[in-house]
Amino acid sequence: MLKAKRGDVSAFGDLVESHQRSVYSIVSRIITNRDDVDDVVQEVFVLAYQSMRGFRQEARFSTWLHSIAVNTSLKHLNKMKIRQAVSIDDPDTGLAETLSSGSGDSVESKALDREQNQAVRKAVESLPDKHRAVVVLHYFEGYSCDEIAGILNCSVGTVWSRLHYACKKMRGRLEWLDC
Amino acid sequence: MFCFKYRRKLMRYVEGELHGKVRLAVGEHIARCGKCMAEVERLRAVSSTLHKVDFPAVDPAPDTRERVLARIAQAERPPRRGFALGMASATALASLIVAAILVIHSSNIPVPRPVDENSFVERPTRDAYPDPPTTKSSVEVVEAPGESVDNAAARDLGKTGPSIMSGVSSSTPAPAAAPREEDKISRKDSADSELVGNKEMPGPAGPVTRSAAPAPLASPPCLEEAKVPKTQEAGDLTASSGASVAAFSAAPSEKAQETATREVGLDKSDPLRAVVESEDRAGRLDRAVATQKQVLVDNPEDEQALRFLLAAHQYQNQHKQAIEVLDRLIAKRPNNPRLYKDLGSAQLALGQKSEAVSAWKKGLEVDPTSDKSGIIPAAKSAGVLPEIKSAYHNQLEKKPSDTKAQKILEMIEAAK
Repeated sequence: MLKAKRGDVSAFGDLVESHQRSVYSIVSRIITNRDDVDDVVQEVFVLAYQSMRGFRQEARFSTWLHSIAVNTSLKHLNKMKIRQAVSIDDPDTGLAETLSSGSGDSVESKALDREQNQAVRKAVESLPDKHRAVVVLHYFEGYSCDEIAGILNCSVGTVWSRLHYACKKMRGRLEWLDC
Repeated sequence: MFCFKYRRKLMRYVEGELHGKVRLAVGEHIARCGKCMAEVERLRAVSSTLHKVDFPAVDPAPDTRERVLARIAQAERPPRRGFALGMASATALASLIVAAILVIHSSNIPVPRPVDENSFVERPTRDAYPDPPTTKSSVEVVEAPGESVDNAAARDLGKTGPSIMSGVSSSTPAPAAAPREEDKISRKDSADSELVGNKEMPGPAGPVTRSAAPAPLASPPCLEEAKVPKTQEAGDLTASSGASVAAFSAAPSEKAQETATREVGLDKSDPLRAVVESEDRAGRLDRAVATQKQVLVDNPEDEQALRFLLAAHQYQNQHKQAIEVLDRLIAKRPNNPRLYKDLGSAQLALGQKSEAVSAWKKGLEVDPTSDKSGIIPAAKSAGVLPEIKSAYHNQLEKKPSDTKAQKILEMIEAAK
């Protein structure tokens, strides 16, 4: 990483390879269009490269990189306003197919898993961008709320508040939870 | 009662983030308050679902590294262009000032003579006009001897007219255009950094300026040039090796504009190609290639140098040398279909048809689901697509379960 900080492109390329999976994970969960994901991930790494000298190593590199990933994704959503346009069943995104690979032994339980996964995904997608980012980071990336506060540059109270709001809003969309 | 005190803590309670006395107090309240109990149950249901639900992420693209590095190389180019345009505008401005001085001080040049001799030095103030000059007839027209009133008016408006300034005014678009370009870059940078900037986290603090970005490539010559101190570059303006910057100093306005237009018009999809073209225009391509070869002598694995050489050989139609470089790159990146596509193209240019078919087949097999590198169109235009197709048909006949061949054939059909 020190080499990359000094401007060694090859070393930065190694960092890209080692962190691309986690960046893809965050970006693709915040934005859903497959083609946009590639572009945004590349933009994240380019921004990271351009800002490497400003990285003070007070936090882990991955946390710093993920903060860029989240902010770039939110910026992208702001710019493109694509949420309404993207469908979970869009064949281009392949998300429905991916979601269908849920665990379960019987055909019925697989179908149920798939249905529930889709419902959750839709519920997450329906959230406002900043709330969605908090949900993705906390529930799917395993960050604590303290860490999320650092990533999003806001107070821990704000993170909890957004999480509370997000859960309440999603609850309305996950009616099967009542059963 | 007093639910609002606890409501804010319910989410933390559900997530198990409250401890000690606070958790106890919230727990006691929930036990007494039906509303809060119901809220906790709802939150818990959602939370536990989210913890266990499968929310699949997209797998990384196989060539993410290459694309990122290419974009970094591309991003390195704007500052140079901005600097070049900046130099162009500065030079044009300087020439404008010099021309203006010449106009004023040269006694041989017919200076526009004002109607009132005194008003040439001290132009009438607004108070001198009893009515605001709203119509053409009320605008002061300074008429030169032997010059029609219409021409003088047009000249004063900066449009046309037989004035010595007309030659200078044609250069004004260059200085006017340059700051806009630079403004655009800095606006984009500051917009980018707005979201990325993070005062608490060690994120990219403050606006991301191009100058703050490290020059990443030890090899490509355009970046070597970027490392040259500004003073040196400015001092070498008249040197023939100063590339486009020197070209501006020779004849500031027109050349600056011409070069800027050419640079903007480059194919940005291939940054290295753009670098090669730029070096060639500056007459320094041979030197750049020699520099890259020297880099490879020191470090035979330097991928950036190899890629630059490849772009240079392709640009100069040196197919044999391009194939040599491609072989080395493929050894490093065997899963990059683009390299196979280029290899096939180079081999075909040398008349090695069967080798080209073989290379393109390998490229298709690397990623049988998509042809992002454009192998199928290339094979189609080269007339070898039927050959590739029949090869995969044969493969399928021998082994019907060959999914790779199936997918490639589907892709070829879809491309048709």
